[in-house]
Amino acid sequence: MAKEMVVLQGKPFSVDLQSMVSSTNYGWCLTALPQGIALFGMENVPTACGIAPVVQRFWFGAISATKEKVEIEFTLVKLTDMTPSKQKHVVVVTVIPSESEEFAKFSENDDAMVDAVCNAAMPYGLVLGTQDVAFKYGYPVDTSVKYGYPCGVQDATQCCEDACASQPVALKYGIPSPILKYGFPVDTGVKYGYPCGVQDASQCCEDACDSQPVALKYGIPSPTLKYGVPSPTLKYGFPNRSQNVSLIYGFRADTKNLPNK
Amino acid sequence: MANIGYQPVTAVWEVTMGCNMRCGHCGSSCAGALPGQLSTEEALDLCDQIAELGLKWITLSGGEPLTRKDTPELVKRLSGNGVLVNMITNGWLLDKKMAQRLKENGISTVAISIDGIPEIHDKIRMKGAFEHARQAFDAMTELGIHTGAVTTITKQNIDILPELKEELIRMGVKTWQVQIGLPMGNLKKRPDWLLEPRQVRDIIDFCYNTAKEGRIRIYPADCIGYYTKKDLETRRISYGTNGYSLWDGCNAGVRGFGILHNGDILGCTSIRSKEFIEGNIRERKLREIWEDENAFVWRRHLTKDKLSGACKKCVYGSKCLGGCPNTRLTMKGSIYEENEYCAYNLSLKDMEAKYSKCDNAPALRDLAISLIPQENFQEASFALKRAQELDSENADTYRALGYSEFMCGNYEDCLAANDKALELNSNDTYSMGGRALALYRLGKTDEALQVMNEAVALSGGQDPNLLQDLRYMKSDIAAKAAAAR
Repeated sequence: MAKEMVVLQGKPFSVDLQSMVSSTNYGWCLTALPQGIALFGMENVPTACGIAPVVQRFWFGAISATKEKVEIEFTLVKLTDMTPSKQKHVVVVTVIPSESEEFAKFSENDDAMVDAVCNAAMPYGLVLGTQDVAFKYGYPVDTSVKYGYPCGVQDATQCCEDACASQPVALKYGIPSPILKYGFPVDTGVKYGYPCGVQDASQCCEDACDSQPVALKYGIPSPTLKYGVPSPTLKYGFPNRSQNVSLIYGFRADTKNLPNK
Repeated sequence: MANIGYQPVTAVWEVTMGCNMRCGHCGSSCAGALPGQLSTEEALDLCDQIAELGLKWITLSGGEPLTRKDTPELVKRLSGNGVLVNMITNGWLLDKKMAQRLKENGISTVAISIDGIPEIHDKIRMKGAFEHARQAFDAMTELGIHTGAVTTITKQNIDILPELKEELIRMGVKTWQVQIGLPMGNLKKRPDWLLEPRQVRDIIDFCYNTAKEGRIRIYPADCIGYYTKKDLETRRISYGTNGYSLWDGCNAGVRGFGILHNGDILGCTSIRSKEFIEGNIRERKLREIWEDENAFVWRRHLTKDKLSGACKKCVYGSKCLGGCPNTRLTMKGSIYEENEYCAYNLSLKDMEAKYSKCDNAPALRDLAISLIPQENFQEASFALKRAQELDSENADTYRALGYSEFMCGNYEDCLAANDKALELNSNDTYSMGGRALALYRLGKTDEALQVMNEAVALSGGQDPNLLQDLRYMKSDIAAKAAAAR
């Protein structure tokens, strides 16, 4: 069944599709893109369940508003020889005009942002002799610390790759590495990565979730040691949008499961 | 007890209230020097205390700082102590001789107030003011002193900013700060000069276009913003940084402070009524005042929940804390009022108006559920609140509203929405989880744990999200307890 989305013109949006690309090399590929929608790129996001499944996140930009609904089509493809499977996923998109100005995205409950954001007691201003002085009506300013939070602006065209490269926040707004485009491939960095966390139980592959109840049975294990579970960060999220690697309280939304058995 | 949580970096020192001009917008209504002004000896001692406190730079202002005869001496003492010294002047007394003296005494930068093209500048200030400023720029440029211009924007000059920009570029000015004229001092008597809130957008557009041109570095002051991509991009360009960063709230009492002519210490020289004066250097040492845990409380203890209006519900509220407090104080009468001169505040008003006209609850819900993954939580909340008005018995609306309000940092609203969702479906573990987290954020730890445990139990321990959030809370509690020890 097609999923419907309403997006704002001029703003990025993403579609998450779950696959077992890491282990089976079957992955979702974008196979039809309507006029007015641009693909910014794709990234693979680890899920909670261990080595697989993986969330393939496709980033789009709504370039122009549409009068009618348009369809973005994805096909599950065997990447080894580019054989398409019968499994398709269609997202029906309505692009509505955005009347508001664009603002940097922020939530105090987005740990990735909060980690990157300075606190109120953060040093402000000049560090003598450490930089070329930039003048603010005569105030020399240490540009690296004054506003504190690099990469808070989620505009692919504006964000500087160098500065964003190390910032998890930057990935949200889609400056994906070109090699990830159209989703082939496996992000080896996450392939064997993360146990635990992102999906709701019904979407999770059984094997990987076997370890979950254990955590409950034995109380709350030390999150950094037991079963390799990473430090437990808040997760209240709109399921499975992995909008924040650490915050789950989530909404069950736009991740489609690939049958893996 | 010493408060070591804050390290000041800079200060603004109004060395005198005496001024040789009578500007129509002067926030301090400066005229003659006021009684109680620090003597040279006291001021020099303060220069030493400023260095001892660890300030990196300071701005000497007024009044007109050069009407005070010993100002060059203060510059020398401060720079000799390793503090960079900047000055804001009207330029009238800044001839070649004075420029030379300031340079010899170690001045870092001199900014001259320029409020318009010659006719307008002279009208606002006094006849011949622009020509004197031009000559001052020439003198300093010749000596290699860094210079800048500062413009207070009112209805008197907002329309001629493009012309003023060309004039400044012609004069060789490299940096330009623009700030909003606020109703204090003389400007309070001229309400017709005050900008309308929506004109902030015009200022941001102007700054952005100017920054993109790259001919002069323009710096919107801290009263202009907040968080539009244009203002972030303007700052990125002008500061010459590669990445973006979000403004971190007013510096008053946190990273900087103000000094009045008589040695009064306060957070900001613009917020100067009695209740905001933290001490006087004639009575206590500067460090003692700064480190007093009862000082600057209005800023150091300011939290989003103390704000009102749209700021109280704003997704940025915990970050900007309402923006410039002086804007709120002068425009609305209290530092806790909402900031109507914030670009995002304007956007919130527009959103509210837009959604109030919608009457299709399912469509609003669909839109919101699309907006949430796009991390547009605030707009999603507006859509959902309207959907809730139209259809008050839809659990999906409350579930989504609970989450969007949580992400906006509005925990009471998150709690209310999840409570309503649970009224409609008492077995909804997702809403229970949201409720637990809202309680946790509100400081009701025990109740939060109880609710989350109930949610986990109700889900049969099969919902990893709930498990992780439960672990998160327990881990966070343990970390806080360890930190407290």
